[in-house]
Amino acid sequence: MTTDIEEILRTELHQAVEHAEVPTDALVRTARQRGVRAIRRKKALRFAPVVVGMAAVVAAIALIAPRTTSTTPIATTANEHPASNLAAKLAAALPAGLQEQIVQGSLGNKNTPDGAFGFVMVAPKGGRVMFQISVVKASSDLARPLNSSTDHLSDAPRRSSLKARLAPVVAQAKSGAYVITVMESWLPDPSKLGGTDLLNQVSRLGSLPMDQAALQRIANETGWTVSPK
Amino acid sequence: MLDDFTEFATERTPHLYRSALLLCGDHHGAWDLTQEALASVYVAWLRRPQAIEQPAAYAQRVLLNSYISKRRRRATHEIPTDEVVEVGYQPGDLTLRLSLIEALNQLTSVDRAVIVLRYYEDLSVEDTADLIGISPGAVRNRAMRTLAKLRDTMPLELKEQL
Repeated sequence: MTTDIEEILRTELHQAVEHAEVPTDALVRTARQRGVRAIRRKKALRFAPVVVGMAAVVAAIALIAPRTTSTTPIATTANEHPASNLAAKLAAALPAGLQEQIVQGSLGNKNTPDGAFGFVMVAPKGGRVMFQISVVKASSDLARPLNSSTDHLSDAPRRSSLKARLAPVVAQAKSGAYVITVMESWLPDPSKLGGTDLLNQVSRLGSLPMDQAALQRIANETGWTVSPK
Repeated sequence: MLDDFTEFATERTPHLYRSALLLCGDHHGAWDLTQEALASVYVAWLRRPQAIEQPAAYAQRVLLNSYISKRRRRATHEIPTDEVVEVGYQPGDLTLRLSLIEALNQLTSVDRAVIVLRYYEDLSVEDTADLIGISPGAVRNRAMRTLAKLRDTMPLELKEQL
């Protein structure tokens, strides 16, 4: 009986498909295209392990680095410029939550003809920079555009408000003292910004979660003025 | 080398496609399976031609492996349908053939592969076992059980003719 079924299967299976239309040319053509794509994909993936490995190393460094940066001890030597460790002092003055968000490598000091300044940038992990804290000499080129930009404001009440807010900066400029100010990172050239943007920026200066006591301590140590209050 | 592949593929595609049609039960599945097998042969043909001394057997093995692995993935599992397999001109006993094909659709992928390889490809038990990757004893057992199952699913009047 089983043999009969086997014979039936042999006959019927062949007959079931022997008249089926086979799109040979289309199949061969598309199979070749698919094969070419597979080869390209394999070539592209050849270096994938290396890329993944490098990304892992970079990620590991990024995870470790901010902690080491924010805890860098403040070194002072007799020959150092007063501003040379300013960035580290600024970093230390930040609250704990913000210290962890200091952008790696963003601690900086710079000497200019007008004086030295330090800065530190703060950003959430993977996000854009939130703001930059800078210490500048009020009479330096860095502070000057901030003052001069008020002249471009067309809105008179806002202009006078901004001038009032900037009064301490102007006063410090006259005396030649340093000021600590907080700026968003895209503000280094405020003269290019519109008046409203600048006004909004300045109005936010006093509301950042800075450790004011720590900043005051820095000011006391360096003899600089913390502004604005 | 590419011309060789095209020549081989053109000659072998009809057989591969018909074999795939019996395995899948529909033209879309057969198209995809044949294309996948031919693409794998193409890649091997270019990258390591020495690995495929017998391209026909290699293509048949790829086709079978693709079929079994596809059936294992639930997302692409075959969905039973009311429509019977598309077939062309059919001389002989149409009722018997349709019953057989419907019964084939109910089989597991390995059982179906055993039937197609043994009774369509006319392979020996040993060759079938080698292609599927199971023992010859398992092939015999599966074939025996499947044949009994196929016979049970046939209409009564056909059973009486056997």
